[in-house]
Amino acid sequence: MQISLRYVTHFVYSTPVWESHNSLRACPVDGDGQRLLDYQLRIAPDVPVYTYTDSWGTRVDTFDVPQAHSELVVTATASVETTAPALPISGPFSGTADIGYIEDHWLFLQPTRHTRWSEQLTSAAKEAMYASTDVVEIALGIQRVVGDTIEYRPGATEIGIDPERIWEERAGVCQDFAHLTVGLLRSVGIAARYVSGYFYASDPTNAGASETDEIRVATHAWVEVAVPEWGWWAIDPTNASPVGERHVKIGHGRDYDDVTPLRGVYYGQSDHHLAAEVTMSTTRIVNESVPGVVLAAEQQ
Amino acid sequence: MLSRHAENLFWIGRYIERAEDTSRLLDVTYHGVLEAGSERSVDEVWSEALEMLMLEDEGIEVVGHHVGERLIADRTEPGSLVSTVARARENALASREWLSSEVFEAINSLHISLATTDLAHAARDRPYEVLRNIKTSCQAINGSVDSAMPRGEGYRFFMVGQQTERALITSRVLRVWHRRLGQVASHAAFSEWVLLLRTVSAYEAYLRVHRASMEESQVLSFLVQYPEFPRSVNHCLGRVESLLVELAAGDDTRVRRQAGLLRSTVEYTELGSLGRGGLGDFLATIESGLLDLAESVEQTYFRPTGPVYLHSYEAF
Amino acid sequence: MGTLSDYVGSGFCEMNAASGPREHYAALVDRFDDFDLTALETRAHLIESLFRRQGITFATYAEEDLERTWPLDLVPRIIAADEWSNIETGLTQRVRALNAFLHDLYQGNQEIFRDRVLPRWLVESSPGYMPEATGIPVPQGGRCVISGIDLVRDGEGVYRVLEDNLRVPSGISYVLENRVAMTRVLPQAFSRYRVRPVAHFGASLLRALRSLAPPGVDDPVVVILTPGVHNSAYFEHAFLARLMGVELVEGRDLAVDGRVVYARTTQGLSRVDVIYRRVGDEFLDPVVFRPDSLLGVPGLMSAVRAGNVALANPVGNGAADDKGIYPFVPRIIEYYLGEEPILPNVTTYLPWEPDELDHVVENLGTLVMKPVAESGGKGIVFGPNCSEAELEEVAATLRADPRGYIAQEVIQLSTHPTFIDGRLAPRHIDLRPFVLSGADGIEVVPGGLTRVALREGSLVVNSSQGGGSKDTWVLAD
Repeated sequence: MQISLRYVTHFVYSTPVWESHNSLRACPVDGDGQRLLDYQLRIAPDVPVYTYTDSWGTRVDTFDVPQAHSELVVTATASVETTAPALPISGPFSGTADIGYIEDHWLFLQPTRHTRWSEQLTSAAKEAMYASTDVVEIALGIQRVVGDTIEYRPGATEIGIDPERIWEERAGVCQDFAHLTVGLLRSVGIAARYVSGYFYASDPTNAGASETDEIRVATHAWVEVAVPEWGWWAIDPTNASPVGERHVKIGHGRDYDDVTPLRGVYYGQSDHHLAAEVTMSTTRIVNESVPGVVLAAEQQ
Repeated sequence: MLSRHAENLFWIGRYIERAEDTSRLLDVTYHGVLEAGSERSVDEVWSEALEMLMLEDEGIEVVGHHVGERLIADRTEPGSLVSTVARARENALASREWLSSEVFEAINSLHISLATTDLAHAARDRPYEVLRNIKTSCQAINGSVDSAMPRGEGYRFFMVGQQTERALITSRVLRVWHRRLGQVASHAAFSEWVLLLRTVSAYEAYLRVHRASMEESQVLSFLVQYPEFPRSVNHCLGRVESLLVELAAGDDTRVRRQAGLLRSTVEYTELGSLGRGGLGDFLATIESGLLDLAESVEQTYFRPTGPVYLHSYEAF
Repeated sequence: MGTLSDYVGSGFCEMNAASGPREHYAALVDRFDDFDLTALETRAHLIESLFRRQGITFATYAEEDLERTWPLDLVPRIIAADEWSNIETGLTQRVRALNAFLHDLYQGNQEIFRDRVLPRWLVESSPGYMPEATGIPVPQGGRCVISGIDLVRDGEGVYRVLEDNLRVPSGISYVLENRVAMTRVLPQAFSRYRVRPVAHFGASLLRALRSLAPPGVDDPVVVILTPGVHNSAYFEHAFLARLMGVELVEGRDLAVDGRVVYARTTQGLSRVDVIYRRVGDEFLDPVVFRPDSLLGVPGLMSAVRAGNVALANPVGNGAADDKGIYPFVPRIIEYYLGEEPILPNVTTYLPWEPDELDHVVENLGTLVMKPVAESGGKGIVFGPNCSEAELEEVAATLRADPRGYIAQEVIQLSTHPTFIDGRLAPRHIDLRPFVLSGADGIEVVPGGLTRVALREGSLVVNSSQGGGSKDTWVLAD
């Protein structure tokens, strides 16, 4: 599937700000079952962009706006050719006995700020395992439990709430689904990583949008599971589904902090005067010469 | 010189000057209230003192002499002497390499003496002694700056701060007195003028120039315009103006022009022609001009891009 | 009677061999015999008043610590020339290898993992490992620019490395202050020895820092970045700034524009080429690390990545001075340099190796267990102090989480005569020499900071826990 997408973040400041330093992780990865055809980035005010690849393999665009400015617009456009990845049939799981598995996936087995777990979560994960010894089965079981327990509610949480609270509040957005799933998997010794990307659907829980629609979405998050003797397998706990050709991956990391789409700092005169409008639209390219992407402001 | 050090020195200059002026003003207030035996209540006098210290909006409750004790010893009160000295010393620590060790030690000792004695008790028990000690220490610090600091940027920023604060206090004190005397009587009592002059340490200097003749216009002109009195607004602004010229740092045309304009307004305005209302307005204009000037000094030399707050954000 | 000639040591005594004073201590013993205890007391007071007058304290100027001067003992520690030459070569070797390892880890192909000399997970489990430093260019020799390598001397007198400090080691200012004080208090003792000077340290440090400047910068500007006056090592930051004649800056004094770092001065922005930073990795740049840090400089890492400014020490050195990596340093030396390690480690066991786990569990009562991922002495279990029940608990912990700990043999530190409560008594000591590494080579400051456990029998030498210090004399040939 060929997908063209456009990511726009628009900051409006009530009084001018200056010395803004920013880093963007919005570029689809070239690889992991998808091909990057084109990527363009425009910053207004017009400032130079410096690019590097971080240690997770994600492209990072950095840019600074030294002078005083009242608005900042980040526009990234990309075209990607996606394929539906193959599904693993099985992955034998031998838990703590598999020293090689543990040592090879050390970073993705450790708790982090957003994925740490408690005994309560460990026992929930164990229950979801049904004493299975197959990573694929276990992961699907955990994904099902997350889907059954957590209700998708836009704006339900801020990034940074730990899995324990998500579990107790039983509601969250896609980042929370992903963090909770990663935490549950790691708690029983299955290596899992957090993935940041785009999902082509009218809203993150609706996979049924027509392929020719122009639709607005937000960035999405899902999970990759290390399946022994197979490799990384992507699942989407928010949609309780495997990852398919509607998913466009930007990158992965231990958790959100390693792949935050856009972060930065700036100097300004007082607190609380940032009005950020994050707009993202995804469209199937019918004809590359047709520009027409409808941009509508959406308060995030 | 790092802007942060320049800013610290500017503020040390202001804080030390402020501490000296505050202790003198409190001293005179204690005396004034006790000696004057006037028709004014103790609370009225203290409210007026707060206004002269520009603390009228700080929500300080006025209950007799208690407010004086708080202004000396209350650590939670940002305008108190103990807090003012603590901030001067904190800045001095951070920019120690720009101060001569004598100046640093003098500031440090003043801070320690206030921080470690039972200041609240002393302020209640013998305020005159406490205030006199602080005043003398501040004068010693200023003396040390004068005699031991090389005439470089550090010295100049210190002096700009000191002179700006001094001019501000003089003009504010005058404004408050002028307003009250305007309400009470056109010819205030001799003792009232004496108290005013003593508040800004001008009594002896005034007598030397004008003998015992206490005319309102003469007193005002002396405190605003008399170039040879070191606490007159005119004298202070003259110092600021020439210090800025000596500094010749950064993009400073605007602030130098501002200082020059304000000084010539102060120096050349014919006070006698202003009338009572006009005089009040004039004093208010000088005060806001001084506040603007202080703000410009900060913008020009310390924070070229304005007040600094660092914000961080994340967006999906 | 003689103050030092009557002295009886304990354990491995630095001063006395079985037959009497070691050769390099003879002149000192002789000199001290000119003093009676009262004369020593007078000199001890003199040191204290010297330091107090100059404000040589630690924990800076907090009210409660105003009187807390730096504790310097009257009896210097002396290291003979040949002994030092071995230490110097050993430290140089170690720092060369650690430089090579950090280069391989962050800038190279991580060949050490491929060759299975060091397990990757071990580095990844280190809190000091910074994935954010991957690919950032660091000039040749610019990894362990300033390091403090803690040495101890065991019961046989063998110098062993106890710990590498490759992030922001502190203490060098006290080395210099101790020397100045001793020359005033014991001038005659110096005249009997040729003690190698330490006073050129400032010049050496400045030279090492300047050697790391970006290419094409003729007259590089160096600054020291401090967290501020409230930091417990602020005295040292200010001291080093004065010593080198460079500006002491805080994060807010610096600005980044066009991936170049500038100092904000009254005359405008002024370029900075090398930053000797005493701020931890996590706080350096809120764009990359902790977003709530006000101690750092926004955009700094992009300037570093662009090669427009050098950091000393660079980000990520914590991956090489971690407790989990420490046992592998001898192998790291062999792997990168093809040399035998000159300075041995303290014997260390790795519980994740099945046969070593058994050995550790059987000998828990004689070992020290250290958690791999903790720092600052947190979670350390001292076997000899544990009850049977406690030891069983430790054994269970080790079996459940063998990757969480290393186990080390307890070292009885050497002892040194120390002036305590008006008399000379043996106290345990260690040594932290300082090593400078720059583009033009490695230099070891002669001596270093000798730390003393002031409590009788104690092995804890940290100054924050009541330890003292000694001036350390390295003798010229």
